[in-house]
Amino acid sequence: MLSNYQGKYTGAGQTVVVIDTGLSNTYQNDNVVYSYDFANGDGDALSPDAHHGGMVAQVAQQVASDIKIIHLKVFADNSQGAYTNHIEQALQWVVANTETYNITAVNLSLGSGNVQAPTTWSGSDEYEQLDEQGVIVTVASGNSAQSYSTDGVNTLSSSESVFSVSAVNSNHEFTYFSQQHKDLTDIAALGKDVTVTKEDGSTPSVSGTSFSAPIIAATAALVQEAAIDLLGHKITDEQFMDLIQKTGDQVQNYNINTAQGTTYSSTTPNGLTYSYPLEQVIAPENDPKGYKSGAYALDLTSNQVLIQDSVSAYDDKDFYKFTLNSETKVDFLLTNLDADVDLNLHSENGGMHYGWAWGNVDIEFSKTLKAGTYYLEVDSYDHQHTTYDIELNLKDLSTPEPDPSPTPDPTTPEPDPVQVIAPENDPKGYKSGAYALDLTSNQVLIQDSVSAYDDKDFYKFTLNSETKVDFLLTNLDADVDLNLHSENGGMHYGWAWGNVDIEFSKTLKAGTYYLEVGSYDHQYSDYDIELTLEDVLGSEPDPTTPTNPVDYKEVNVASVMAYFEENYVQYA
Amino acid sequence: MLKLTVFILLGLISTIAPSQQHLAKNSTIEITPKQIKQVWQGSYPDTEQAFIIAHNKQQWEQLWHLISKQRKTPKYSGGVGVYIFIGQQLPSNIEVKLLKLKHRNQETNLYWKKAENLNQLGVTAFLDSWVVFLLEETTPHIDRLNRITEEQH
Repeated sequence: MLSNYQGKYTGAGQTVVVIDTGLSNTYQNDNVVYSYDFANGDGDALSPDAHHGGMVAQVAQQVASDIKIIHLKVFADNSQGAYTNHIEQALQWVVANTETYNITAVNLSLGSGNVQAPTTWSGSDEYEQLDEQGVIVTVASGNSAQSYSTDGVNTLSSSESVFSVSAVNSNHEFTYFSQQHKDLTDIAALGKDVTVTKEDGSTPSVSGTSFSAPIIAATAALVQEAAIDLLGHKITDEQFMDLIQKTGDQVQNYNINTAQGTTYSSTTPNGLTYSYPLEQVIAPENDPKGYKSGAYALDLTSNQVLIQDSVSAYDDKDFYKFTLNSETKVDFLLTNLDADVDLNLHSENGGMHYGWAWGNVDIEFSKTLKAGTYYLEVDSYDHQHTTYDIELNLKDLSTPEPDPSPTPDPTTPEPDPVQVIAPENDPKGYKSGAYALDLTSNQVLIQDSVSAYDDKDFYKFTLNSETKVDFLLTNLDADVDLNLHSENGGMHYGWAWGNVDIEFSKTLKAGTYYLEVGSYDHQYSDYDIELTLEDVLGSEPDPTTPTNPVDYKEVNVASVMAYFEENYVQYA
Repeated sequence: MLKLTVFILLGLISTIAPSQQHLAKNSTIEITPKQIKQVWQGSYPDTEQAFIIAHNKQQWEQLWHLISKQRKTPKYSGGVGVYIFIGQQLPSNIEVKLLKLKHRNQETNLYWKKAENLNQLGVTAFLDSWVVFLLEETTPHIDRLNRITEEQH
């Protein structure tokens, strides 16, 4: 069953737009209120040969049975491919008609490619307009995981203005085909062996992230119907994201693939497999310019560096700048190419090493470089679009080789003493009144309580370098949650039903953070918070302990609705 | 920038001159784009046939009726129609490339293979997919076409 929700909301009054192959006679839909064929430029959106759009809409209607459907057809008859200008026109139609049809969500179960950072395309402007209009856009993350060695999502789903939806199976594991990326996947939903109904009554099973995305679109319709009923208005897409992630189930058994040869896995005692990268991964937030003075400055903090970006017809060169403080041997490797791309190394005074070969092939060279500033130039020879990975391996030649057979140290280092903090003044229930933690040890125990009239405590702490922090909330008498906020508002929710311990780990960059202890039922409870801190850059990774497990969540529709119906006031 | 093209099936260059092609009793003809008049693609056909070959208008109409009882038959403009069931539960970026016609003992066999196109903007589902080619009637030995063979990788 696609949805475990049995409540009173059915998506009534809400409209979901399906931008796809159009209407199908074989997989029919109820409540179709409008349709248009943007590929052929007419009002006949019935597809004679493709049934995908009909199946996608059926999946949405299995989750929210009373939603209205609008089919916008962007695939021409007889074609398996679509043009982006037709998709953009369809999105423009939605922008113009959101109010007329009370459009709650738009679903795109289509795309191509595998990107690791938000990537613009001609429909990005319309994505942003829909975001501003409060329309939730769900996009399938893509089915080509096996075709790529690096985690990523379909280009059309990479925008920060949309919900990128990956596929899990009934065991809550990512399917073998589902593309996903730790920064771009927003939520997962069932996408394996989903049942649809043909017009003859038979019920074939279908698979793909295509069928995960409409589950989220339909969940949005349920929530917005409830929001209008309970609050008198819809909630924002940020609130919807918060809601589905905090109530989601943990996705099981995943790996992080950053590039070939740089995936590291370990097995935890409970049998779950995690992976973590050892190297510093740099995905430039601002596009590197095609000349030295506009080079992207690489702040190298590791001896293994992975740079990921792309070049294209209009951005056919990327320059990077880096500085070495001592003589260093550097191995350069350019991989993951879809076109003929060269990698050139320039010294500051203009000397150059050309990493050059005909065709779409990896480029590899090593150079021993003196201390100084250097530039890396990535150059698309044919002005074709391609993503690329640059791996840098640095070896400081000024440092002597480690002794291959060191004498074992017979003394075991003493563990840090536990710093116990029992706030003398009660922490307030908001950030500006947070209790400041002066962390002087890597082992910290905080002890206090919450109650009906003091149901939230905020703590503030500052990290001076990238640090892995294990959080453990214990010794509870009631349902208490532990949430972590960054200074700019990003949040990790440590949340579970009932009076249970909360445990999570996060690798945090240097900066200021807030811990929020919240009593869910406004009941009295003591609590202990244990913090264990490990300076990531100053320590070797422990192969048995994942340093950065990704917090992928699978939507749980019943939990979404239960939480919202009980806590809707939070979303007022 | 995205590659936004919908890719058309590409063939290989013919290695036999037209005059030689008509003379050879047993020969192999590489399929070129010029020999493909039109292509239709779709999913979930009504027929379970692996392939269907139509040599005239009546067979062309039967072919389409078998694929989909609900759709209109595309206009027949002469030539030979070839329906190929590509496979069940395939990614939408799987295409068919027509490779060659092999003519032996008065029979002609059409060889094809699957090809993945990672740049094609397509649906993100696994589909039971089919394709129909309408081939030029001037293609050598096409009038004797009676077999279709998938060439494995």
